[in-house]
Amino acid sequence: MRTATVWLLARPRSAASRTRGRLVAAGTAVAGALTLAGLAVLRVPTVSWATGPDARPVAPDLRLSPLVTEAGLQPGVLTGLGLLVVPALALAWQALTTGSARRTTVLHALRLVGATPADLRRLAAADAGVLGLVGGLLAGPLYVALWLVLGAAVPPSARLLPPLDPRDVVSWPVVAVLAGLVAAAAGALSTRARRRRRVRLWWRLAGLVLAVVAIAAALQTREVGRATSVALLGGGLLLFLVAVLTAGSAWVRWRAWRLARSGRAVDVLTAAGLRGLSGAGGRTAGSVFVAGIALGIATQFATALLGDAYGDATVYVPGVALAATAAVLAVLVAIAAMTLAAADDLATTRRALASTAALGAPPAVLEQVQRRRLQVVTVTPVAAGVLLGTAVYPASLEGPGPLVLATLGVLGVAVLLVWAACRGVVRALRPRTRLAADPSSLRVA
Amino acid sequence: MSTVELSGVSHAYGRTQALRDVSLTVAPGEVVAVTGPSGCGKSTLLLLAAGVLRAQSGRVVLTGTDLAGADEAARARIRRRSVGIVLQFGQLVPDLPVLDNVALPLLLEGHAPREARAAAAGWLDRVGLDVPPTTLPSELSGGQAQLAAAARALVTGPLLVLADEPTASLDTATGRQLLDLLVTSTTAAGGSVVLVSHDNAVAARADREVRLRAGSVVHEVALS
Ligand SMILES: Nc1ncnc2c1ncn2[C@@H]1O[C@H](COP(=O)(O)OP(=O)(O)OP(=O)(O)O)[C@@H](O)[C@H]1O
Ligand SMILES: [Mg+2]
Repeated sequence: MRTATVWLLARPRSAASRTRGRLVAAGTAVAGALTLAGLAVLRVPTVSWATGPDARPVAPDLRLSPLVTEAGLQPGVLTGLGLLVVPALALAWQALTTGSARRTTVLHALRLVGATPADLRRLAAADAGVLGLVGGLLAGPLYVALWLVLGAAVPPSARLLPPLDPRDVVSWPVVAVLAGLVAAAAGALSTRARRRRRVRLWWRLAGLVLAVVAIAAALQTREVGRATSVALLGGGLLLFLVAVLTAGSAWVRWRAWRLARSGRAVDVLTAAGLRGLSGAGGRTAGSVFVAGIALGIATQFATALLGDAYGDATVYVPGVALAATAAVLAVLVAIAAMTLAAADDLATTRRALASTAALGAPPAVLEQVQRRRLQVVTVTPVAAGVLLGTAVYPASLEGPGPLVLATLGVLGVAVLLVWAACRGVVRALRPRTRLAADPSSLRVA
Repeated sequence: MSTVELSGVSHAYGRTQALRDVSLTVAPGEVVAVTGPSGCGKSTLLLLAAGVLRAQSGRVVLTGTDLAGADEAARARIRRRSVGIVLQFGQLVPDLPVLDNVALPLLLEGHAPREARAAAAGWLDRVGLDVPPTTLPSELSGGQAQLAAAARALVTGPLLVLADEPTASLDTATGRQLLDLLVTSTTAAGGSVVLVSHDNAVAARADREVRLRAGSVVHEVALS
């Protein structure tokens, strides 16, 4: 196969595949910018107030917030950045694998005319690799924007990011190329014919626990040293991401099974779509769950900082700003994940939708089914995520009162928001639903 | 050497036994019709012969290669060089213009796009599909999609053409023309054709008819 042919076949053609491409690039760009931020924070020398044989009396860099200059606080900032990378990557992976039903059709058709597995892998790797590279390149400007907010616009003692440095210019292309390579590998992986050898739920839970332990260990940085701590953090986050995303589909299948048994028309139709979409639905559930965790941690963090009487506002303001950024990002990721899921749902069930409509189901019922499907895969995960996120950081408060109140508040707001967003997304996709339910969807290509 | 040879082939989808102990040999230049009631396993037979499905027992030898010993990549390569397939449905790549769909086997084989498209345009013309080259599969009628699939099956000059109900969604005259084209252009070069059909007129175009029922060959006659 020539390179020209690879481009011909890998190029996005439909509006849906272009949206998918933009989301993959956007997710990668955010993850890349946050990685650059993490690398920059790692460059900041830390000061330890601990007394011991290796305690060096170094003066802290007064041009930066104590959050990044104190040995005990810097890992917290790094964890925060890392936890933000997770939803961004989850979104990118979710976007990369959307339209899986349609892609299965394409792969089948290509296989029929004699495309080898290697050809298919090359196509998928080219498609995803370019998107990852574009995302990685966008990470540079995005990092500068982030730096303007967290490193330049605020007074010195509130700055989380050190001044721009030639080393940033070196890490940028490295991150971009890495993003491209990782995306290409992910793309190639996504074409692998699934051997339906299910990973036991038990293993997935074990992975999840291991991930949480690794992250917790990373936070005890003084005991294990900085390099180990960073490695643990990275490994833990990656494991966490994989565990969450794969556990999602098992959970969605279980929900579908429960719904199908109810026998109500809307539930049965909801279940039918969910079963077909257990992969995509699971990824949505995973992304929304991770977004919930970010929200929970942000709440926890903000409550702790605001509750502590530090006196000097510039000390806690950057932390709260970071937490707020995390929360906003989490909400954006959740909404993007839902939109993707709904669009995927429509594309996958087009023919079923059209024939259900042809049988006489009114458009309102079709929308109700879509809404149900979205709500099933988002409401519970976001609630579970917020609760877990709150539990992750051990509270350092005098009493748990404010935290419980804040958590309940955020939980309520998050569930309501997600519930409303489901309605909004389905409403926004109404023209597409009409199109999908059109009798022309009944025709086979 | 026979073009394709199935001996004692069985295949099941889960608990559905689609084919049991079927043997069929197709000689170079021969046209074979496979007939039988709905669900008797005709399409399955075709997919096995093309190496898309793997026989669960028995042997399939396609243009001299035993498919049991060939991995997915090797089977794909044989398919793209020597076999042309026309299926009942779901065979054109969605979102890929008709012209590129037809050029696909040549593109995968490494031909230059310009050259591949020129050949594709020639075959689209010969099958009588007169639509703008940028038309998408979703914009074709069922019959037009079949014509495009036929053009794609013929574009490589295959040794074996496997056609599943190629004329089912075409009007009588167009159907007959397409059948003529599939048969004459393939056999003229020494290639063979396997036609699956319910239609007696289609079967009459063959040298031999193989009738299946419930997954087994029940009748085999030479036609003149
Ligand atoms: N992908 C599949 N999964 C499960 N069962 C299948 C599959 N494909 C075919 N079958 C079953 O195998 C049997 C043979 O199917 P096949 O498609 O070969 O029949 P056919 O002779 O081509 O029928 P038709 O004339 O209707 O096209 C049928 O009972 C069918 O239900
Ligand atoms: Mg059939």
